[in-house]
Amino acid sequence: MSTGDSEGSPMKPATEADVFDLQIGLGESETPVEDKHFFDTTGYLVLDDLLTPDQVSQAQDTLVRIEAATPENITLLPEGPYGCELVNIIEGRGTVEDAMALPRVLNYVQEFIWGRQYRLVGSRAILRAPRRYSWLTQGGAADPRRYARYRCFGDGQFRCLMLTCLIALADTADGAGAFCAISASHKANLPHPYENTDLNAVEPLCNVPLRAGSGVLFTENLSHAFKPPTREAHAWLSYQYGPSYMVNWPGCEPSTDLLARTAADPAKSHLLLEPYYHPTGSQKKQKM
Amino acid sequence: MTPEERYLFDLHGYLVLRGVLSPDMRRRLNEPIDYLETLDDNQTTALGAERKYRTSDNVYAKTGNSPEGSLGDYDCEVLRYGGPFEELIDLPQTLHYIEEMIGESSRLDAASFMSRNSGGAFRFHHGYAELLPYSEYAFRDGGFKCVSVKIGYALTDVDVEDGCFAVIPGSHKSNFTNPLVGQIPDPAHPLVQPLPCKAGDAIIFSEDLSHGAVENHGLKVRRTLFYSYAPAFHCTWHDLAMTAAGFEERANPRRLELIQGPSPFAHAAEADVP
Repeated sequence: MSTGDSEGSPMKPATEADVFDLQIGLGESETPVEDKHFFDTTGYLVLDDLLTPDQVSQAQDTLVRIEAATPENITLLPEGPYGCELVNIIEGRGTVEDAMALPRVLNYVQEFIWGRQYRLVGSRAILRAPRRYSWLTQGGAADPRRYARYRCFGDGQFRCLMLTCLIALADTADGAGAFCAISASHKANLPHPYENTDLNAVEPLCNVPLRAGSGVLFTENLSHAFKPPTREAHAWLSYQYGPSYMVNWPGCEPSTDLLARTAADPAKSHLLLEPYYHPTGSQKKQKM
Repeated sequence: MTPEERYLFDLHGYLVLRGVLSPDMRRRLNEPIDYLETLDDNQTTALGAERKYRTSDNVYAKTGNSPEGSLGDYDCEVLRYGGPFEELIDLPQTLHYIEEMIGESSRLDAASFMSRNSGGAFRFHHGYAELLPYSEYAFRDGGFKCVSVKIGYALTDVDVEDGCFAVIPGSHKSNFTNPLVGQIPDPAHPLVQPLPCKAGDAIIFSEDLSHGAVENHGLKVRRTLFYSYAPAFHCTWHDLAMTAAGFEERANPRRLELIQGPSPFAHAAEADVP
């Protein structure tokens, strides 16, 4: 218990944060309160123009090249849940690597996950053929995926588990092939009743139309899906972030080559740290 | 778990399980420790059982006295030594508690032996208000959903004066920062519940519970084995779940799964893969 300072006025009791430095970077990001409110309310944020047109074009070229001749450290899943997938796409260099560490995205990731204790858990490219159907994920309290949990406490502190940043490489502004979600479903207490319902008949499902190069950051606890592209295939980049102690998605272990070439990049190397609970040395904040 | 055990774990954040280690099991666990303590540090390290001594600048531990010629307070990664310590990974008497408290496929994320001398103590740490995501106590949909559950197995009798484990019951749900954080638990404080144990007892608790150890005023060395479990998508605590050579060949399937970790993203059915 506290006893008082030298002038006799009562001292505040020591908090855990005064004594132990187990959580770093909380409250450091400069996220506008409007964005925090929007994300907490809806479960997602639209981030316009994350990539330039040149970067979009470069990423598209990379995906074509990788799909034609998939390197060893990228896995081609011809029949993923949303279409053909290229898992561990950050190994593809260039824009598909750079897009994992976009400063605008990481600022939100730091805000919504756990201060500076976040890491990249997985990455993939999604290639969606015309008329490709997509499921609606469960989301909310009924979602069995514990690693997808959404958490925000009454004083505005976020402790989300997995977040996904999805970047469109094709224009979905007209709604065809658009990412869609049930806004606020990350807080739903009941399972959604649309398990066998055509997406077009799911009344609360909202399209999130995006221009090529724009993205959406969402909690994996949000009920979401893709509308089918109508005429041409659509490509997406998808990056999953989690707290520092979350292990890699299977097949998403970074290669030694990737670790070497990103070693001098603080943002990328931070994202690719091995999973950990506490930052090195964090428990030596104050000698007792 | 019985209905009463569920009620008490939810209420207090811990359970004391009496006599989960049989006398024979205790003997088999203490024997290698006795043996290792006859060896010098280089010899124990060569056997995979490196002793890591607690030092006076440790923010959690108040180190005990170690008379000339005796060992100081130390931790040891016993799974690297192997032997009977592997049997505790999936001990039937306790594993079903872990499974129910975590509520989904889980893994062992740490195991450690702790030896504590007279004069030593462990300061209070954690509590729900801290919002540490990796230690969260949670109960939803009629079941526990804890993300870190630990078991301390007593290998020696530990009374209050011997520096027993101590908790603040209910602090796994407290919305206010623990005012005793960083302090050595005072067994006389009205918030503090010391938990004396007999050798063979175990204390199972949510890591979100404020916990520590009162000061050891006795002459006995306190011996405890801590085993820690988490959902499968959590990593391990440093190298604290590394096993001895040949473990993969010796281990039964459940034990192997708890060490290697089951599929980390369970329930990622096709419809739910991000």
